[in-house]
Amino acid sequence: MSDLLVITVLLPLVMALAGVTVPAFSGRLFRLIAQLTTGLTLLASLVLFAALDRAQTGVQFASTHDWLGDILKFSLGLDGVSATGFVLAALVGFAGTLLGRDVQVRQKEFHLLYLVLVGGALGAFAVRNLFFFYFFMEFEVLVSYVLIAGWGRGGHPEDSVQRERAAMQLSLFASAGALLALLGILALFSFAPGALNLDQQAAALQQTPLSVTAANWIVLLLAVGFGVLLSAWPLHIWAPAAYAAAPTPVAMFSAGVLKQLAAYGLLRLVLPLLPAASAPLWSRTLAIIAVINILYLGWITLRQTDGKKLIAWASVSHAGYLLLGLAALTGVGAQGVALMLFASGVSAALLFGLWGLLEAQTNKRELADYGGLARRAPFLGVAFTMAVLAALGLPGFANFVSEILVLFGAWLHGELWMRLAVAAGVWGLVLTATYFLRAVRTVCFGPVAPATEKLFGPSDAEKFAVALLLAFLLAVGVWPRLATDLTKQSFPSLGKNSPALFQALEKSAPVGGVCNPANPITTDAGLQTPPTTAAKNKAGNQP
Amino acid sequence: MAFYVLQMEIAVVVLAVLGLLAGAFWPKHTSLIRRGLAEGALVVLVASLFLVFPQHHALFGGAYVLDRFAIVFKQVLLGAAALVLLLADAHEPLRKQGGTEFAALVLLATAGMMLLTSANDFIFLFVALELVTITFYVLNSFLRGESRALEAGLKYLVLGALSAGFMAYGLAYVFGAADSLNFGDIHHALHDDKTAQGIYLFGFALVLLGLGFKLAMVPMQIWAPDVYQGAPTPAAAFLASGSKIAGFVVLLRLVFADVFPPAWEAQPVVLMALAALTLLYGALGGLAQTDVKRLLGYSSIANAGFLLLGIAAGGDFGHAAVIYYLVQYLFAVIAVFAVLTVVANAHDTADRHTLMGLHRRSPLLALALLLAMLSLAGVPPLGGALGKFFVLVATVMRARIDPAFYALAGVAIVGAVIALFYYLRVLRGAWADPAPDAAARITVPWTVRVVLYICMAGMLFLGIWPQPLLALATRCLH
Repeated sequence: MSDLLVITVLLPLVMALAGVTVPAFSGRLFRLIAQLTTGLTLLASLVLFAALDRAQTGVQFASTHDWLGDILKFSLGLDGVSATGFVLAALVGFAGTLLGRDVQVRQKEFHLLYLVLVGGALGAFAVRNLFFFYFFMEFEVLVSYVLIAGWGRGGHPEDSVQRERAAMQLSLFASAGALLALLGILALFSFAPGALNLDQQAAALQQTPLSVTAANWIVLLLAVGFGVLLSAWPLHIWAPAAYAAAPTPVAMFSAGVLKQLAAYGLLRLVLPLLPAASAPLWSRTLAIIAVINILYLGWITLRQTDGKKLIAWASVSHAGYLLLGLAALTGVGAQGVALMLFASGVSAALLFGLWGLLEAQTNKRELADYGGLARRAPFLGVAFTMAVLAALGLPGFANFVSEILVLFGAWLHGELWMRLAVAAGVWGLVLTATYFLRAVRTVCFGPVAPATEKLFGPSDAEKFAVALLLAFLLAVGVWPRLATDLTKQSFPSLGKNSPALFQALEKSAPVGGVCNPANPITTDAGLQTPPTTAAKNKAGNQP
Repeated sequence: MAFYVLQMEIAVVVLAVLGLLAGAFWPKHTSLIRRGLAEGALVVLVASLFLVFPQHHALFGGAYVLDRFAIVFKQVLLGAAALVLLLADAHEPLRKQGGTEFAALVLLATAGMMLLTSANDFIFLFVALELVTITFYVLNSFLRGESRALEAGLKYLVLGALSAGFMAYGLAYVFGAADSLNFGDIHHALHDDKTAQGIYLFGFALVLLGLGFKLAMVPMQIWAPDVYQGAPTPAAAFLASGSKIAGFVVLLRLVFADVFPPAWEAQPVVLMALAALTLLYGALGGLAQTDVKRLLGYSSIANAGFLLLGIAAGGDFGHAAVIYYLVQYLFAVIAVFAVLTVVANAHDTADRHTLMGLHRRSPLLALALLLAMLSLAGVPPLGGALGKFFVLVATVMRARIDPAFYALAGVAIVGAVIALFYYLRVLRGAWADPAPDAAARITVPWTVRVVLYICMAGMLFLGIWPQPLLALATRCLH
């Protein structure tokens, strides 16, 4: 199985290299190559996911390869959280090749670069070493630059300037962030060389404990680095423009996988390093940023009239929930973040994909230009409505479960200001409902607009991609244990790395046992045991 | 006298002379001869890989040493020369001018650089350095008809002469303080004589200024953008690769031989300041440039800053990082100049319009430019990323003893992000802008193709599997 993991990561990269040698007879050929490769990758990732031993904690399918003597070893492996991200990257990567209708020129270059993008994200999720995580992250950013600048949203005269500016902002912001993260990684390396390897980190840090100052600096550098890609306020400035300017598959991938990669980095790499002494400070800071993301950026989203920009802003604003789950520093919150990685990624990809299908045919961008979609193209109308319902957290979709877990997790933190943040989070769901339902009303219902008149239903392949994404959202939503059984296996190790932090939290959080190795929880992610006040609060404000 | 120690240099000089003679006797076959010279350089390189060299051999009373460090860099420089010669053969203005002199001069400069790698004495160093510099006066202004090339040659001449003056003046002080110019003796002579150390410090600072001209180090960096822009593209390529590598090899040799003033070894404040200034100058200066060749001049300054940072950080790992950086930089910079050699044929300039729509006109050139620019910017998985990474590792390791290095690492990162902006701006022209209608497809000569394939393979290999080269670099240190 560890061989299969290596092959799965390498497959897109090798195919991209091999594709360079194929002469560009027809663009279709390369689209087919990309579809086949990512399809195989998706199958392999599902096989890996299913084969993970749910009773075992820690890394599985591990393999280590010599890279730089004793200094750095290239090690791959999956645990519960990274396996979820791995499937997400493969799924969105595959759906992107099917939904990329707006890519019509230079298909060879586009699809080969896109394969590189997918391979890099798979690598980032599977890699077990902080340095290589940086390596893949930075690599993803620059590949996105070329893809956005070269194939971005076009059709209007000022577009080429705008997409270039958006791509440049993305690269500069994210590279600056990645380099800061690199500095943090290097600092960690200089204190405890073994700590770069996730699976030996706990041992290495026990041997040479970090001072609180050093740990705080390292966490700050890493958090800023990943925060850029996560589009946390105030580092989000690049994000909406970049998502809006990207061609559909790249928009799906950056909002659906790269952002989640950053959240994974924060959850998996930053939380374990938090010094217990300053955990409350970090928790408070993250919560404040989360609330600003949810409320202030949500408020900006309300004003968007361009459909793709609306989706982009919504995705940026929703990063606040990931941050809130992280700020909670409870097992339930972390569990919620792990699940939300998947749910928010798939639903953002779905929305961008559907909007791409609309815009590629009509070349209209304003929501107001559409209308009566459900009547003219029932499949698109229904799919769009469902995607929106998923994104605003309707029960039955994975997003609902993850949001509940995040909000419960934050509530369990116990302090008043965190509960205020939870209230803000719930209010944010109302904002989400407002702008998304308004979009659905405009686009799907009402009289058939001239733009909608021209629409044809999607092709079978496109229908398949949309249905696939929806199916994953529904499956995890109806039966969350599909994912949570696995993700919760990752948290014992999270608690092990800085036990003091999680012991402190357990006092205030009676259900935080998910992260306590001595008390493994076998029930469904603690859903049965949250305090009733939280449930009431949630139920009362659920839009 | 064991001349077999000098066999690589002798082979290169013989090759150059043969090239000149052949050009005089068979003026109709100059293109063939030029390619022959490039292949000859490659043959010498390959042959040198199989030769058994005497370990730690010294000649001329210890002025010339042959150790693994010198041998490896002689081979690297020969490789650079071979690639540049292939480019020179494809360069349209140089072809029109005809003759084999350009190729012969490149080889003579290479011989000077190869001697530099072995220099173990300040006089030997000075003479070898002048051999390189004087050859470049000619190479830079080789296109007599272009006023820009003449301007480049003149600027290089004036500043080169100035730096040679600094160096000669500094050497007088060094000799006065240490009573010797041999690296080995200086270290002992200075042992605990405080007055002599003060005089030596002054002399050494002047020598460093003179050497800084080759490195494009602040405050001797001012010529780089002008000369890179005006010189014939292959000459600029050799200036950016060979000449710079040779300069840093000399600097490393000075470090290895413990010739640095004792005060600087404990607290390398001067080197740190120079590294930071060079980094920032290169990064900020490049922001306003529109000509790609000129931009590469600033990029060369910024990269010199990174290399100086590695030397300031020091330690075995720091020095190995500098060696790694030099080799990977060679591939990236030659790849860019190879692309420009083909694209900027008509007037030998390369403003951003010349690159417009390159991906349509020649996908190979666009791909090579993409990889090279990203490698220069330090994006994984290309060699440049690991070069920068190793230098930063060395810096942060040093910072545990000396926290000022954390600030330096911060400066390096700021510089890298600023530089990323201008590298990407070049790529925008090549990848995002539509092709001008009149611009037809570009046919890439096979010589340039070979150069591009070698460089791309080198960049990818060094970015993906650093182990062999880093191990070799570490072995060079002992």
